[in-house]
Amino acid sequence: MIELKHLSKEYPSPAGTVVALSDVNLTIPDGAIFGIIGLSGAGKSTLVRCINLLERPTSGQVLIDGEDLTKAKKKRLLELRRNIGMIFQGFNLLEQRNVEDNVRFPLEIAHVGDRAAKAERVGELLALVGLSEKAKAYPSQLSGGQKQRVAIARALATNPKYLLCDEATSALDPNTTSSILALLKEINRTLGVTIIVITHEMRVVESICTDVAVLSESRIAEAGKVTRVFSDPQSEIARELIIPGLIRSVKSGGGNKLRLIFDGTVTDMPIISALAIDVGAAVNILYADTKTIDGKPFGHMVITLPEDPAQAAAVKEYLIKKNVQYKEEI
Amino acid sequence: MSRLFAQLGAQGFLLGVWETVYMTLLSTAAAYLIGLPLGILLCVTDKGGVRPVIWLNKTVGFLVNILRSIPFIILMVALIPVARAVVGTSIGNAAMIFMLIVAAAPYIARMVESSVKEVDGGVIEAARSMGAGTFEIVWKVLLPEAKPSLIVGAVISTVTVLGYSAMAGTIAAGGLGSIAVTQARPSNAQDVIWLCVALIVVIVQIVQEAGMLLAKRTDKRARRSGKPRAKKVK
Repeated sequence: MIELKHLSKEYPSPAGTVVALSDVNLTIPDGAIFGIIGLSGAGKSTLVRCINLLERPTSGQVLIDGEDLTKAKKKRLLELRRNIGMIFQGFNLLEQRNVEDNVRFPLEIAHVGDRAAKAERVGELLALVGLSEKAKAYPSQLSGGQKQRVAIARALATNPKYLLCDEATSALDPNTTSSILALLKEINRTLGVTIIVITHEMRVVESICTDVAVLSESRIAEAGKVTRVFSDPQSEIARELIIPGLIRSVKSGGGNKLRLIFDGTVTDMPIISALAIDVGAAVNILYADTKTIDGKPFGHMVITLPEDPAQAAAVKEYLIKKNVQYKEEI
Repeated sequence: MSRLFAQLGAQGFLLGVWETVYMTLLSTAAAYLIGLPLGILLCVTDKGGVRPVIWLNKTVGFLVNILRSIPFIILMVALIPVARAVVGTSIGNAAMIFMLIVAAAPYIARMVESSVKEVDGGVIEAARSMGAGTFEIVWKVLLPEAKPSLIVGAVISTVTVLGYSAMAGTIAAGGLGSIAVTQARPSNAQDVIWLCVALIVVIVQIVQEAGMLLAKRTDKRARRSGKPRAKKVK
């Protein structure tokens, strides 16, 4: 388990102190795929670098399985880092080493096993990421997706319990992104590696994360299970990121509005048609967006209520009866 | 043909070539023993380096700059007593090699520093994330990744030292420069001067071409088809 407690990071700059992180508190449970999402400049990269202390926080604690990294001696810190793999947007492969030598690199640093043992481990890892036939290739001969696979194999070489991904798919095209995300999910599932994903892309969180924290202006605006945060975002920034059209639709036009929440419990029911038929109420759809998370439908729909109060009440009653959650939006 | 040309003969010119080559290579190699660690130190201890030690960086940088700013011919004169103390003589090839080392080491330090600084910060960060310490980063990341650039730097340094070595005549050391300056010039043997020039050009060309070929062979960033390296994704 990773616990960040009252984490702050400030940089001195000619224009005064820049606050990159401000009192960040976060608990990342084992086995999770934990997304940290935010706009650029929110402090995401600083946050992830504080987890393995590539950046030393100005104050606060970084507890990895209860051990405070900020208090670890230098040698111990280097050891602890071997338990936290990391991959990057720019891949950061050693350009003068071929694929297998790149994957062997962390094993050399950690002095694990003899020559044969290292070679065997490298073989396993390349098989895991599906690049066995590229063992002798140099990074310059690989595509972006292949480079990231090598980086993943390298990050997993020392059997880390945690894997940090810093915008790992941001430089990749949509298809390659999907395959890398699928690989990360598989690693999480089969090896039990806890994955922390830093991203500005909602689809990354949607497709693989179990938990999410929304970082805004150096602070955690909201955190929780993806299913919860996506179906009922509390903070302004989370709403902005998750349901970008919603705020606009709610603010536009008059009349009373309802936001229907599909949180995976309601099956695919044609609720609007049902309203028209069963209640005889014609509602106007201002906004609708649904996503599939963990194979269940999640989403939001904003409708205007009929002006007639009796009919409006009937609509609400009908929704309650059908177990559709809603919130009144004014 | 001048009398000096005939007097020197093939043997005289070959000796000149040999003295130039061995003085250059020996002093460049020895200067690397000092310049390479210094260059790495300058890079590693710099602000934003792998292990910043600002006072050390500033001190070494200052000394390097001072040595680099003294013109070689003046440095030679200034080093005469030092050479006598260190090598036991202030004239001849041994003294010349000592002076070349003193002049080349700080130059090489700056060359190495700039090569090593070209290594992508992201790669260093990746190594740190794997628990690599300063020594491992220098040995396994900085030097291997900068290798092609370091070779190019070595070629440039060698050619520079070869240029300095032409001043050997000043302290009665040998080589092609000495032949041209101290023997051919006073007796106005133009043919000897031109042959010295031609021989030096040939030596420089060989060093240059061989070095560049080696640098290119070493660099794994270039694709096999000879196309320039793939654009970096950022």
